[in-house]
Amino acid sequence: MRYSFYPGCSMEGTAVAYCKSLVAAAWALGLYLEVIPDWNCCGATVAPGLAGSYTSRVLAARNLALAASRGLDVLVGCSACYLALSGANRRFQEDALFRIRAKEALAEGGLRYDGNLRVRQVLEVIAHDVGLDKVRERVRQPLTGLYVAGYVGCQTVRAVPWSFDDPEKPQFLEKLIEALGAVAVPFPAKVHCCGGSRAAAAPGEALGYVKNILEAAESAGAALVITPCPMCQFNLEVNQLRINQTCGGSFNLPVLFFTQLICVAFGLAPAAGLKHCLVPPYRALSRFRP
Amino acid sequence: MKTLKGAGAAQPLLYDCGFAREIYALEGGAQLKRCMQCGVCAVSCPSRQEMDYTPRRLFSLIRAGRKEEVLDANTIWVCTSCCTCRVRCPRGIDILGLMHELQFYYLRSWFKVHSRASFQQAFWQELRERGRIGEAGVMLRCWLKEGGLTGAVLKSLEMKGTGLRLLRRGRLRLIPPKIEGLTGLNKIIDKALAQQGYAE
Amino acid sequence: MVGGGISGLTAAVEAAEAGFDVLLLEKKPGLGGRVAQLNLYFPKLCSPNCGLEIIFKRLAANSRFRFLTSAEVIAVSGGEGSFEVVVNLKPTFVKENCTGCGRCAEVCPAERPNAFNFGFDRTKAAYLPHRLAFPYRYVIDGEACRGPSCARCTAACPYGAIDLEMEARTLILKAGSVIWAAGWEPYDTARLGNYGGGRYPNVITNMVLERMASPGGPTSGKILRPSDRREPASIAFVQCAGSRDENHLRTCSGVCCLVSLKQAAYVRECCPEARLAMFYIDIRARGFYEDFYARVREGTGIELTKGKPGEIREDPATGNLLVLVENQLNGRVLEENFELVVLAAGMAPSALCAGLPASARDRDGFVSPVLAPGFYAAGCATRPMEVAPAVRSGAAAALRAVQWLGRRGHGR
Repeated sequence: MRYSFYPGCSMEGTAVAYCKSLVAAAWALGLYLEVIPDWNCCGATVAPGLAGSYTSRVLAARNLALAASRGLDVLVGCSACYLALSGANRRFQEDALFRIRAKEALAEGGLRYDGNLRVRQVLEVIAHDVGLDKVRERVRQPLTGLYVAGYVGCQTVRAVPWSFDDPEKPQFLEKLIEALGAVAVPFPAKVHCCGGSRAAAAPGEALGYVKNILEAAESAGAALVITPCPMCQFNLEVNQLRINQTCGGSFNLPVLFFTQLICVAFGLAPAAGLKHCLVPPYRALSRFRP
Repeated sequence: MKTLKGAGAAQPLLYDCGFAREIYALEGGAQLKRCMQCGVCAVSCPSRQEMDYTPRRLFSLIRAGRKEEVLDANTIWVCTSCCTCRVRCPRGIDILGLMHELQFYYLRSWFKVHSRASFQQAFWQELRERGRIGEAGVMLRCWLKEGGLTGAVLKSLEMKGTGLRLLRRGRLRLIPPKIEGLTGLNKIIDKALAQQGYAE
Repeated sequence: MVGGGISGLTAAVEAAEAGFDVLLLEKKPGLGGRVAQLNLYFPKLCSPNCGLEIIFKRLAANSRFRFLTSAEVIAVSGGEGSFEVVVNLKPTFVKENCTGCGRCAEVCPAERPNAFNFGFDRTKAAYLPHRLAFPYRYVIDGEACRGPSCARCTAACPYGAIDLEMEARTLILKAGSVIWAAGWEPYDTARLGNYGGGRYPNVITNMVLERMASPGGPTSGKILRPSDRREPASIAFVQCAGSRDENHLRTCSGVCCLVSLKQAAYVRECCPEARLAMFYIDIRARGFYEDFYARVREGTGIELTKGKPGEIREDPATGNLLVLVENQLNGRVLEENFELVVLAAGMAPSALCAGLPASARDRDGFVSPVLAPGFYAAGCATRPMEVAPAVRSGAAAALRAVQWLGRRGHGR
């Protein structure tokens, strides 16, 4: 199966491990990704406030226009990118007035898009196109006895509600954890907000969100947390260190992308990019690395 | 804006619909008319404890024409874009979309600046100049906006622990490359802004 | 006639008494539909049984009326005067000579969750659909039954009425006119993740409360919390659970406000000390129902709060529930504890069969009262409604159907 792949800005920076592990895990599952050439920032949830939702959707649609000729589904890992791209795409498909105006704007840059693509989240592709059975089959190093908190975050399941999971009480990430042989701890905070980009705009205000999530994961007995969202991963990891420094916390919870955990379970640990973690996961994963 | 005619007399309260009409005319703004004031958004918001007005009250104030109160409230700035209100709203209103649109309205009306908007402005600048976002660049721009050169230096020193850690772990690109089609991207953006009657 | 609930039964009795041959098809093992599950009607707070009994008596006296239970309609095709109805007959493993003596249930070793009580209790695999079942005949649940290898019931039955080899059959029936009265299902509250529907034991639907309060119900009329079977000291009624909601059912179910008020009235009788509260968007008590609303408001001391709860959280230790809601009148966010939460689940149309014209369906799946010439719909399949309009709508559909047949000289 082939997909156009939209990495998104964070995958070139703070979430570089997501990019590496996602590509490796996808390859192992028979998903072949072609990066959209010369893609641009999707605008995330920041550009709409500054340039308006319309302009923000149009600039996100530039990426879809670049991928249009190949006709492949557009695979997105980052949840904010998924929200922006799927939102722009839906407008193209459902709102005739938007389509006319946006096509005009895209033409200014010599591009064209008609709304012919589908925008898909990696977890949704694993749920629908791959299936957990195939994931289970591919496991070489079952993560037996590893207690994992599956932190789903907000936008992954809420951008397009019910596309593959319940937006209020998602189950799929936990099923995936179990498919890798690990134990998914009961984790009611799995959809609580991490503070999103507010953590960057005003770091002090966002520590509370993160503290609650980490406490919930710790008291559930998790050895590590996994997430499909770069913003969540960054906030949980960086603010964990800040809480330890400034508020006397003693958290020591590695926060990985779920694809990194897949890579470890698939016996592809070198591709998992574990070296990029600020909170080292080596002790938690020591039993599963060759 | 409410206008009371005759001081203290039992006069009818008159509403100015002009502000509400301006908001309805924003992208997706007409959705606001559908709000039935049930208050699900108010309870669902993870930032509700810090909000001056809950989204429901904000919408009610917009309808009542209370422009100053709406734009002075921190409500639109503490939204984390978590989408919880959007998936719960029984009227199917894209509430976070409206929050973004209200931020946009705030910044492009006579206010121009807002203490909480520096991050967004930095983000936008980076997007316009490179086409992609580099975390280090955005933060530096943001701190420059907030505190000038000295402020930025102080803030950088304060955050240097995190920054160095990220750098050491290969997670920070100090100077990310520009995209090749940057000119085209900017033309598209300019056109989109112009279509709505704005220019930068 | 498709559906043996109150509107289908009314249509059947009216058409049969007008001199037309009527065959009624019911998916469940007994007639009576949702009305048979109710405790009391509003606004008079009387039992629904007498109304049902009158209809059953009229039907039993009429030789033109026949019915099939455990019969699910899969498709309707054809048109004007020559409809073909495809029916799946589910095996009940019990023949018509059953007298309802109950020996089979005494010896049956297998159990099943009692669907009539929404799984609140369990019955044997051989069971009577409910206390006032019509026909008064036992059925065996094919999924729970251990099959011919067990056969204790076959041995115990004094009338030889049990046939564990019974197989499913498909019938194709011909009809001059078809009335679709498939009724409604409570909206699946498991889709309301923020209310903990299907996850928190003490969050129940109004239909479960109705079963609980019913003298023939699983708790013999006592109101008990599912988690610890204790009488709750506080009960919250949460309105619009799945109705008036773009993410669920778009339409207002129209009856839930009055149902909750009715329930508050009878719960007040059996739990005089309990705290009762109701959270609503608007209270929609139209016409004379306003008087009922006023009476319950004054008479029960129920706390009415304008505001739709956004979230319900469970304290796993006690099973108590925290309801988060913004009071619209003062803008304050309330976090209040209750021991039992009753969701006023919306009314969703029952599953449709093949052959119903797509153009006649709205976005929630309700159908238009006139589907095609000779093909009509009645009751809650057309829109959510309470019992009285369902009866009227059944009569109206019967009139449409017989007029159509009469004009063409069919059926008599």
